[in-house]
Amino acid sequence: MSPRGPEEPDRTDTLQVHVDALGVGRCLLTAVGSLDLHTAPKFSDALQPLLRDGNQSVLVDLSEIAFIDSTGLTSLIAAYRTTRATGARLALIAPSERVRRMLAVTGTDQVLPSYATVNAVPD
Amino acid sequence: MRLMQASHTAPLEQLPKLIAEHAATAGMRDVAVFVVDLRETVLRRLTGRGPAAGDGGQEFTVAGSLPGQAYQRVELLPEPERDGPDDRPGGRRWWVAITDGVERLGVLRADTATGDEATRQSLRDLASMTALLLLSKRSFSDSHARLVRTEPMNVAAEMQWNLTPPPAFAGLGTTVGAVMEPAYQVGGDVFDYAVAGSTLHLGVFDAMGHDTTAGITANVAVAACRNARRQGASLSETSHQVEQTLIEQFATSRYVTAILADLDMETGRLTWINRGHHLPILIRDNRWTSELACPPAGPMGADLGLPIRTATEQFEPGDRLLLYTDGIVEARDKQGREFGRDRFVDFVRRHHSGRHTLHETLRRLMAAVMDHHDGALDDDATVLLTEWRGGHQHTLIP
Repeated sequence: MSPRGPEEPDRTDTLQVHVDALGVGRCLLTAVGSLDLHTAPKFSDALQPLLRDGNQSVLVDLSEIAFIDSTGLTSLIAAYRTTRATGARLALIAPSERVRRMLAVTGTDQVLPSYATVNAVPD
Repeated sequence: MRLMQASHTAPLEQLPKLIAEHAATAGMRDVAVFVVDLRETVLRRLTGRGPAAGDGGQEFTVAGSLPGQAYQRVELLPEPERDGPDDRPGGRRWWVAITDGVERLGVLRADTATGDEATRQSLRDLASMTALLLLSKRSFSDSHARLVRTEPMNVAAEMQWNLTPPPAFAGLGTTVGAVMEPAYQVGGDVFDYAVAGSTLHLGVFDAMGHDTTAGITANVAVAACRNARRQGASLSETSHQVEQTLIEQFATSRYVTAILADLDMETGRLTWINRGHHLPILIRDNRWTSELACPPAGPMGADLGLPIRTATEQFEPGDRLLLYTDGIVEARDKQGREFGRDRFVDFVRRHHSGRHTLHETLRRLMAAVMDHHDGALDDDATVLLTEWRGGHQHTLIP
């Protein structure tokens, strides 16, 4: 890993994350951009605290994730593991084709449910 | 035989001189040994001098040179008469691929007075012997490691190249070839194969991440896999053992996807499991291809708790099995277009249908993938190609 040159952009900017409350005990995290080696820490920093409350349902909108790599998948698996420890609920909303392919190839889709819309997620 | 005995106490640096001296007594003059680099792009003369044992040596490209042709086609090729030694009318200069019958190590150059069949056989014998001598010396030679590198290597790649078996195998009607890129900057990709009786164990692994820890993870996974396998564990037990070992070492922060397979080389029966990896591709009759199916049991080390299913497939003579990692199909060009699965399979079909050997096909495939990606891959790319002839083979040409 070479040190970042002065002209090289901060690559964590390639992912935007924001969280909206959807009422009591339910929130929506929307991630837009690239979920990869450079941005996965930023994603996990936003997602993991939401999962520590076992009564929380956390919906993660991945419809605008254009690129995901193995480090990005690792952050999703880590989130799933946190829910197993805390009892929080985690659901993915409309994962992009690229994300869906990676979840299916690895079998992660068997443990992380996906829904077409926020409203399709059962209470 | 005398050459073999004389070589016992000679380090790699002394091989060129030793080989040339023994060859001269058999009428082969000016013998020179050239070794191929890791990426199979150049042939460098092993002179025995300097830190890389190559000081003052000539270099040829594998593409577009006569020595390169001998290498690519695994053949014995003469130089045109006019280029032969002027002082020996009728004499010829030859280039012959150095191979142990499986792996290609480089080319050998020699001048002879005649070109009859006996001479050509002597040249092939000398190349075979040279291959065995190189193989017996290179594992403890830093000079050799330097000579075959054209770029600096990272620590993960240094580990991976020591972990993998030779990139070629042939036996019991079965041929195996492997390529791994980026050769000098690999992260968590690794391939493995081993033979026990009539069983050929195959594996391709992809540890998540692109750092040195990914390389360490891959090493732990392969070592745990071999350890369980050698104790007689089944494929699913083996992958379970790997999972446990990874969890002990990395506490679920590091995962490895893999296909683990056993091929019975006598019956052509393939048994395999899928630990969250790209599915194997079967090429039959060079006409149709299919993706084999087996539900993924999740990456090893992720502990997703999914059932591990064992799938089977009956091979027909001539079938080829492709195991690969995502870097092969997902390499992108400047416009963001992927190399793609179809192009990958098509490339193997077109090039490995009598035109080129299995290993030459893989060499060309990797050159095409690298070219597609402007010479530098973001992700690791590995291919393990197995061909099963099922007793219908003539000779196994790697």
